[in-house]
Amino acid sequence: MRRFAWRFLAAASLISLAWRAAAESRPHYGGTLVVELHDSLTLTDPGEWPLRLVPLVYDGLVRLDDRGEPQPALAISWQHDASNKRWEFHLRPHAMFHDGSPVTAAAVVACLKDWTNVAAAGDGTLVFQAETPAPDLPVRLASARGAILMRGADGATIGTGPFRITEWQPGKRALLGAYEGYWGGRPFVDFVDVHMGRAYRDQAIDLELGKADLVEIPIGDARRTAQQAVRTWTTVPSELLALLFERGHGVTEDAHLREAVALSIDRSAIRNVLLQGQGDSTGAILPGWLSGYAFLFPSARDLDRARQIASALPKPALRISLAYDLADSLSRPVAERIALNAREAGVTIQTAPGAQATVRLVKYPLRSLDPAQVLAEMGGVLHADSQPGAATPEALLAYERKLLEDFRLVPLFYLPEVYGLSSRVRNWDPQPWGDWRLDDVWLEARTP
Amino acid sequence: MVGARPRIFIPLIFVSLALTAWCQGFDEPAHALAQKIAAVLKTREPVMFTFASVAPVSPSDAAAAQDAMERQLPGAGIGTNPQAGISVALTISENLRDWVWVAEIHRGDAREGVMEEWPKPEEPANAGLVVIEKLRMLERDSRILDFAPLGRDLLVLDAESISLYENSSGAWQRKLGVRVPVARSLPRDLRGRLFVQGDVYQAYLPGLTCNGNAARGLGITCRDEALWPLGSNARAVSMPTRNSFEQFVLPDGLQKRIPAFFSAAGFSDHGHAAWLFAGTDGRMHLYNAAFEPGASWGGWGSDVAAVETECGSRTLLLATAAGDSTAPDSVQAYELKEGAPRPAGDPVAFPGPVTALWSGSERGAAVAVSRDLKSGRYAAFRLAIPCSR
Repeated sequence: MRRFAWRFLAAASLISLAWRAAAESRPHYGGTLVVELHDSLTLTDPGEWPLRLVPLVYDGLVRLDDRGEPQPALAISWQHDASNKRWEFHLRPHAMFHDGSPVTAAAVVACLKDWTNVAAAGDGTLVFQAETPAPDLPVRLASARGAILMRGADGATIGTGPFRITEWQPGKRALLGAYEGYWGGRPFVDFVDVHMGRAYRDQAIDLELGKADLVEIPIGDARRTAQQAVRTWTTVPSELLALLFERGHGVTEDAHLREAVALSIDRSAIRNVLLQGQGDSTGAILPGWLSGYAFLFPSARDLDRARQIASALPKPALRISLAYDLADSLSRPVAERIALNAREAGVTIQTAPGAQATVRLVKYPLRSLDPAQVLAEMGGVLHADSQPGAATPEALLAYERKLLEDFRLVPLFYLPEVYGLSSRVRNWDPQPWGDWRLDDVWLEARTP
Repeated sequence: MVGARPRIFIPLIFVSLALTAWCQGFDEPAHALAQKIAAVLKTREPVMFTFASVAPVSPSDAAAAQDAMERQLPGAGIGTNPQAGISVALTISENLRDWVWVAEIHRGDAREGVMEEWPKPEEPANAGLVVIEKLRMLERDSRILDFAPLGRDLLVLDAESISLYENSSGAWQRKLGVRVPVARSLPRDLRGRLFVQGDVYQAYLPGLTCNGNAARGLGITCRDEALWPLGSNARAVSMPTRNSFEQFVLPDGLQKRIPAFFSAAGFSDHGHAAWLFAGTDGRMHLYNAAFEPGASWGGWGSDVAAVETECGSRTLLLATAAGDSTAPDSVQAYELKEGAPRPAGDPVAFPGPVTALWSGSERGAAVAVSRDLKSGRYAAFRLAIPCSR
């Protein structure tokens, strides 16, 4: 018995030692995290930013956790009535904008003026009064559209997030400084230095040379990069690659032609070869991990049916042009493979870089975790004459089917984003769909 | 005999109650979905019912869900008939938050979908987050003792040589090699270690330490030395004719005599060192910073490595499975909690024995070598534990 007790104590002391030691190994403050982006951001408006960047500078009333559940941010609590029409949000006391002014209900209302029927009820409470039940209101508020900001005298945006915009060179560089007064605690790094418009190749070189800490890796390079023992991280598939048939082009106004092209595409081969097995083939607008019903939209090739449809079309209608983004290394081979597939069905597709064509290969990054909002935005792209109705799964499914029924948009793949990380980046624990959570990241000191 | 019955019945009662609760758990979404299906059908025509699952649910859960649906359909006034003209296809799917029961109703060319979302069970904290990603780096006929990246190339140690491989179109090609000058026989179950810093490398075989430079044609010089690196500046004394180690040399040079061991893992990321040794007695032995023995347990394999994950200061222990070289092996991650090792995530399987498992030179990763039982070839793997999937 004594022997057992001694062993237990020995083990327990080791564990407590480990915990004590862990407490001594606290994150280090300081340093500049260098981030490189392929895209160029010209505005500081969060609506123009990729979803992963928004939380660096801007908070919403709520944020989403890894399961997509709303969690307190600038609002510390909320409640709704039985009909889900009236919602009350209680603001976090002492939260401040980056210019030091307090986050008041009036300031939030002014920011959310585009949202219907929102009003201040006292200094710390907001009331949303919707006309129809809005059970997903907190999720909607967690999107970039729900970001809380004010505008300074010069029109510049002022957020409340963990970093403030210290320097802004449109399209080139954004220097984000740690916000000392952040309600969630000052971030560990002093600065996040975002370099924009960087070619993927240059990003890879900068990562290798230690000039960058976080870079983007094209999906076609992901496997080779990992084999070179570069530290990488992959999001869940969160960017839709699709064919978009532009309106107003006589040839592609025939839905049968669009259907023939859609049915001819061999997504499986493209995914295996060109995407190196990354991403998900899809026939849906919403990714399966968000909707749960993407499998209802077929994505398998049906060449016989495609040939049958194409054979009934007049010959001149069987020639179309497909544009792709030259800056995206993946777009060209995918476009060419689609052209090859379509030719087997009897449709001739001429591929060319640029934006002027009857069909375009387009990418739509997921900008919200609210399925209704994603579909509403896509409805706008497709000039749909209606919005999603009630946010029930059945209504969303019906709306998504309606958006896709005329083959104006042909979803192809949901692609993940792949990042390369320098070895000095610690506490890298982003959300699966991309929020980088850089406020928790710290940098290991570089060894000479 | 009579007295034994209650002891049998009591567990049976609990099992029965648990099963009832479990099935009732599926009955609720099944009932709600059946009502939705009935609302769409409007008629009392029989339907052809099919079932599928695209969610990561166990076969038994899928079967229970199917049973629940088949129980609830009649209650909603829906009969089933395999020849019916109307079909109802039930699919168990998932989204970010919930299981999604999706019923697609086909009536002629018309189709309509109804759904019922059902919360996924909460995962215990941290459970399931640990995933060992196994990346095959190199495969070849001869044994691999250790390997390490050297810039874009790969340096590989075997019993006779050190080779430099370069990546050409996704495949590793041997570019250069140098013989290790060994003038004596080496142990049958040979172990070796390789460390790279810039162009300079160090190689260790039992009783032998070698230094070399990749920039100078892999030029190598060796000396007889039994010290073997264990990480965290600690070393062991290798036994030149055996596959195990004895004596532990602390960073300050102080030697500690401990029972012979096959491998050791140091918890060096917490400031104070704790050590786990895979003893030749088949047990794991834990030592604290003062080098006092602590807990001990069996059931693991002979190779253990520590991996500091890339997020937080969490250190995981990787260990091979118990067994011999005739069976497929696996590597399991463990955490030490409340004085006991607990599996973290699922083990990663290998097609043969793991012949080497070492902590990697890069944070968040280990290296492993496995011999394929079918082909006899050796494969080198990078085992990474990413923060999230």
